[in-house]
Amino acid sequence: MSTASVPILDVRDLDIVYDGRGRRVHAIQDASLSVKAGEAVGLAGESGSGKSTLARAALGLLPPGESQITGGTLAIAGTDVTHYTPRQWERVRGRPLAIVFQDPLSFLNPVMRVSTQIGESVRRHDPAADVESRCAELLALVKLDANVARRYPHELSGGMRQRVMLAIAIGCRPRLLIADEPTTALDATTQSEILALLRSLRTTLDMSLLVISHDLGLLRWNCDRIYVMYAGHTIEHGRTEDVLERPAHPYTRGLVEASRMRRLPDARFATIGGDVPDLRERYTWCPFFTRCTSAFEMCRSEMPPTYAAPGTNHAARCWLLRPQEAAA
Amino acid sequence: MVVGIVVVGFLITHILPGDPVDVLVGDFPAPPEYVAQVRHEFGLDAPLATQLWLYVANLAQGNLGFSFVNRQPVLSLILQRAGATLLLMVPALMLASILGVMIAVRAARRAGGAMDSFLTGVSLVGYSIPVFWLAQILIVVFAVKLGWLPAQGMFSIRTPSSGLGVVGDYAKHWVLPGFCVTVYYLAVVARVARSSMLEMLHQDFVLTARAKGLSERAVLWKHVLRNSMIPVITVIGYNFGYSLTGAILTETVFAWPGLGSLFVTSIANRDYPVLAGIFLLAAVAVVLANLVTDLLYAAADPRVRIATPAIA
Amino acid sequence: MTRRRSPGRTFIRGLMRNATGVASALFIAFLVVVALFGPLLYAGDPLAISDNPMLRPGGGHLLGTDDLGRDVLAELIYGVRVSLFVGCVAAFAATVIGTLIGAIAGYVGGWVDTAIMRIAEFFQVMPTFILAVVIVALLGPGLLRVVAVIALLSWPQTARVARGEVLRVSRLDFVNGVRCLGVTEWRILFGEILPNAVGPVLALGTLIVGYAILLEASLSFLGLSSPDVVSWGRILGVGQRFLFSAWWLSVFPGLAIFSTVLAFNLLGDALGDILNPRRAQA
Repeated sequence: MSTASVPILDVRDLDIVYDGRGRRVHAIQDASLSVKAGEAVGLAGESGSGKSTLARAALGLLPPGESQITGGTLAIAGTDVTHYTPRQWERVRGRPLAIVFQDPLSFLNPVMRVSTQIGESVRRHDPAADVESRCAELLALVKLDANVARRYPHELSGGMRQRVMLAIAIGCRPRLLIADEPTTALDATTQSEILALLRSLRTTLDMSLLVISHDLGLLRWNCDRIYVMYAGHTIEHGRTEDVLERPAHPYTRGLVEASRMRRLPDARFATIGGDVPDLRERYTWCPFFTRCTSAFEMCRSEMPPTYAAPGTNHAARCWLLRPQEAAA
Repeated sequence: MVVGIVVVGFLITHILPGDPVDVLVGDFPAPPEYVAQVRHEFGLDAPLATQLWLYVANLAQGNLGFSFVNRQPVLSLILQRAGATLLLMVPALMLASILGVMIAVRAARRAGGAMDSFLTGVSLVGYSIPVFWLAQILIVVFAVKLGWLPAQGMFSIRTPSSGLGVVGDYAKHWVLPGFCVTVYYLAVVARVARSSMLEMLHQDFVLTARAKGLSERAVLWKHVLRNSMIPVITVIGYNFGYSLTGAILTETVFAWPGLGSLFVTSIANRDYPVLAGIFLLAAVAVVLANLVTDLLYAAADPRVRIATPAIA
Repeated sequence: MTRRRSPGRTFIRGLMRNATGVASALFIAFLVVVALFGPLLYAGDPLAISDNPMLRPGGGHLLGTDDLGRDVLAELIYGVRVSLFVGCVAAFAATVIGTLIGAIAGYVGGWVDTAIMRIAEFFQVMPTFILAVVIVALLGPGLLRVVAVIALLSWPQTARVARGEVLRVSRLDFVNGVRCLGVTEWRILFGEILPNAVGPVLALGTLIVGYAILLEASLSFLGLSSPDVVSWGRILGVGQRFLFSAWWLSVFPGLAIFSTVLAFNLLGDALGDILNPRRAQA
């Protein structure tokens, strides 16, 4: 198998449980996701859907004492990392997988200069390089002035900090960059700048992207494929246009309509009724059942498997997609 | 601030019951002219405002007054005894700070583990125990019952005049009083360091550091520690500032010849100038320590420094 | 819909979970009982000088007698009152003064804030113990004096905490909401903001109790206590002279001081944990 076709990140039927303060939460249930070389993939969902957890799990960043992978596999560039120890994770992080977070003020060390923080990535992943010049190079790549290097995080604006985070991440020479809500904390203008930067970096550095966001519009313009998560499950995935134009899962449909701010006949906005799901139980039935307007008996008792949906590589976990029996 | 301290110091010396002249003159009845002469010499017959002015002027020249009881200038008396106090407190404070941080680091890494419980226990005890009681117990156990260590003083009576022998003698005498002092400050430092570290360990930037692929050790030392030690610096500085106060009781119990025991004997002797002098010294020490701590804090935390305007 | 719990119930639940907190609270309750009813066990004046000085523990005197022939156990029991009095009154005064001043500083802001904080700094810099010693030495011993000195020099700590909490809470949105209802500023401060600030202030106050007790004991140890008052520290001071012969004069009073202060410190810690406003509600 050539390296080109092995996914850089391959998540299969992953189960993750959080065990904090005596409460057990099934944060991720049966989730599957993959990103190949050169792709830009999106991960959509509301807060609490598990998308950030999945992102952090991909780098082994979940606190080892409180969380555990209880099922499924996680593979990075073909290597099974499901049961990696923290020591082993240290070698995998950064390259081939790197991550940038939202709201960089709290994600950057306040007492270290920018150059030091970027320098750490370089030293770790590029030991032969001259740190100073590589640093300058990275800053230029993220379109920052060279004198930013000597600054501290609190002296920079939000957009600049996000660029610094990007510089730190790409300093690791990743094959896949995960961006967890990269623009949520920024204003609209800066948002589009950062996204444009991400797109250009992708081509310049031949890097794959996994963008996580609740903003469907953002994902539409930046990703080739997207996954939709709900209650820890990946309930739909496919080519972006297919998923967003012809959503197969009722949840996705609701999400798309809500994001378009579609008006109902009585002039109210279309929303998804009901409450967010309780993750203390592991679902053996469809998690969206209680809020689904198209639900029926089967949805209450069994978890739907993944069925194909119209479009390229489009699939969703919904009983509505079950191919009807041929006769009667 | 300093003005306030000086005023209070003055008040202590001069507004008080009991005539210092009586102490000087002693028990025998003195002719009134003699008393008046003494008064005049020491400026005690001038109006209060003049006295205050004199006091300040004297202070500026480093004249802290005269100890009638000891028959020497207060300043020289203090200087004589300061050395001993420093020899007691400085090693203790350093030991307490270093040990405190080390224990806290271990404890915070495995929060809730054995080291953590140990730290919490030790620091609670150290914080709550009356230091003079601890001293007494230690003396009874180690000096009396076991006879391992000396019970009093800084040197033995027959101490060698110089060389390694002196150092060894001093060290032997330091152990018990030093331990008493260390316990309290260790408790304080360890508590602050631990809670600071625990807070830092859960900060977001630690996640970023890990995401870069840094080893746990690197994350701990370069990222977590550098941030969590900032409040610890404040505490350690504070401790140094208050070290004179902390020395008093311990020196008394162990008859350690420093400023603390001087302070206590001056109470019994009603040697107010000395009391005022030590009070001044203690307050100044605190102010100085705070100043140094502020500077160190600014050096450690760039957010506190004069802010440079954020580049747009 | 989640049921709303009253703050009191949440507090009790939190307290229950904290074993050491409960234990120390119980111990303190025990002390209070002893303070109130202990003297019933010992008729007569514990300060009466008797003819049996320096008796070892045992027989009629469970814990021995001191240099003036007074029963140590009796002195311990009567001493509870003194310690609790000094501790609680001083801490209470410091807390009330500090909270008021700190709240005003935090709420009003501006030059008032700066001025108050400067003054607080001045008081905080004073070495408390030394000053206390000097004052007692000059003006003579007296419990109220000690209490006053402690309160006077401890209020800045409370003020700082109170100010911090007021600053934090006054930024929350509901304050503006209440303001829009036309509630006067004073009532906002006392009715809405301060109740939210109570937690850390209370925890600190408890710690001050322990500190005050230690301070009073230290003063008595140095012989600066009034002879009309039974003080644990005084016995320890005596014990210092007879360290090698009368161990019971050192062990028991010291134990009393230690356990009392420990209990208050534990309680203060527990309160700090429970009442911490940043703590996530279970």
